[in-house]
Amino acid sequence: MPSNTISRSASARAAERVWQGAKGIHLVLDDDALGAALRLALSDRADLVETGPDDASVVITDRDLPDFSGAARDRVLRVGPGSEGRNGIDAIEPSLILSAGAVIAAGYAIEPVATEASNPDRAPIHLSHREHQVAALLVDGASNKLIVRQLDISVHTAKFHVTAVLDKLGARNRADAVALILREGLVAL
Amino acid sequence: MSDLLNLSNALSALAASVAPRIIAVEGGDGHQVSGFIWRSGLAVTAHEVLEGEDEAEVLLADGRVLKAAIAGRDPSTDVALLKFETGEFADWPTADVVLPGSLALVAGRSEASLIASLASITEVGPAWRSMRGGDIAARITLGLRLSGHTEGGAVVAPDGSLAGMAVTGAGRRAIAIPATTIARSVATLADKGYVPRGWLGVMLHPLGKGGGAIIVGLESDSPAEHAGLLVGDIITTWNGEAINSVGAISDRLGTGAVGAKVNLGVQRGGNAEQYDIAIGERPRR
Repeated sequence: MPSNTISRSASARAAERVWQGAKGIHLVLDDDALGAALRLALSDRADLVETGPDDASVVITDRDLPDFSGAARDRVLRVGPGSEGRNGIDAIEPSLILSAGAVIAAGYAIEPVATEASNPDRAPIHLSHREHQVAALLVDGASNKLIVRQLDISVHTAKFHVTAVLDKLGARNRADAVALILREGLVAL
Repeated sequence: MSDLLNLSNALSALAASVAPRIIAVEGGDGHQVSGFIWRSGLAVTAHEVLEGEDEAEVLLADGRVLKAAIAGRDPSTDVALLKFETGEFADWPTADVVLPGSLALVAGRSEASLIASLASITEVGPAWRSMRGGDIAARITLGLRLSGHTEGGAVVAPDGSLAGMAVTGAGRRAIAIPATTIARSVATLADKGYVPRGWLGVMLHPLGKGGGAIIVGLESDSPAEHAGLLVGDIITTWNGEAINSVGAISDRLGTGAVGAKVNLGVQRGGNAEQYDIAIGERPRR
């Protein structure tokens, strides 16, 4: 039986359970093994039941989000390697996936705890060659005058580059900029 | 005389006794903060207003305005060291033990006037690390709001000794950088003009999922090169602790790291290896 459909009798039983208070889960999976594991785990849960798309409160899929449109996207839980960001579980652990599905079926959303390495929204910082040179001097605690001397540029240009570096880093002042330059690996450590 | 009058007189006497050491400091953009004379020829202030400058103007208790050279700054402790003709001053004795609930006088200078505020030491917490990687001897919280002008002012204990420098910390709370921490920064700045950072000699990129940092560049003649690290190595542990970002490594390369030996766990071509490195001092241009 294809992994994305359930039989008519199973569908009727599922609809009965949904009517009794269980949340419907529709599986749209390319990974048959994952589908089998999830169905096995579902059989242990009274609060969730596999249904067709019409009775489902949440769709669990290992495909990309563009396959789903409009309001339905909020009810989609993406699973499997590479599932990042909101309502994405980067794992194939069935009990974790079903628990996440129950949360979304109840009307909530799931966000990963942002760590430096996995924040997809943070744009990488690109400094120009000059800005890199200024960044290295800032780490040395260079004053504007020293930057002027070292790079052989005008005071005006030096201040311009310093401001540009601070802006790109989102730093309020030089000391914060230095902390960010070091943490981002923009200079050698 | 009433107790209240005695208290008030004692406070104004304390303020008068420290006033000669209290200065106003003006940075290049016109911002003014406070500072205090540490000993003959040296004064301490909060470094932030002096960003990007080589010198500052100082206003002394006797009304004179002098040019001061910025001898160095330590952003990790917020200390900037100024050099100018201060007149004769002995070392300011540092306060012994600062206890929560005790009183302190926060002394600053604005224009020509001494600004003296009575504050409670509301909290004396354990040693902590500042957001810029500085090791601060104690978390001393003051029960008052600092005005911009009194940043960098002296926190004076009731016996006239120096408890620390007043600055605004996280959450807009006034804290005192302890005198012992200031002394450490002053000693290094007076000697070298800067505070050295630990140095491995590697350019690092984060590795995304899975953590660690990958070496994308290796400086020649660096501690990392001498230890046998190669471009492409992934640093995964530091003395046994998991490393999951570039920041985790830069955080561990503060002043205290210079000269320390560290054992790095490295992934090279799928194999887990270990390398011992002697951390050097970051070279300056």
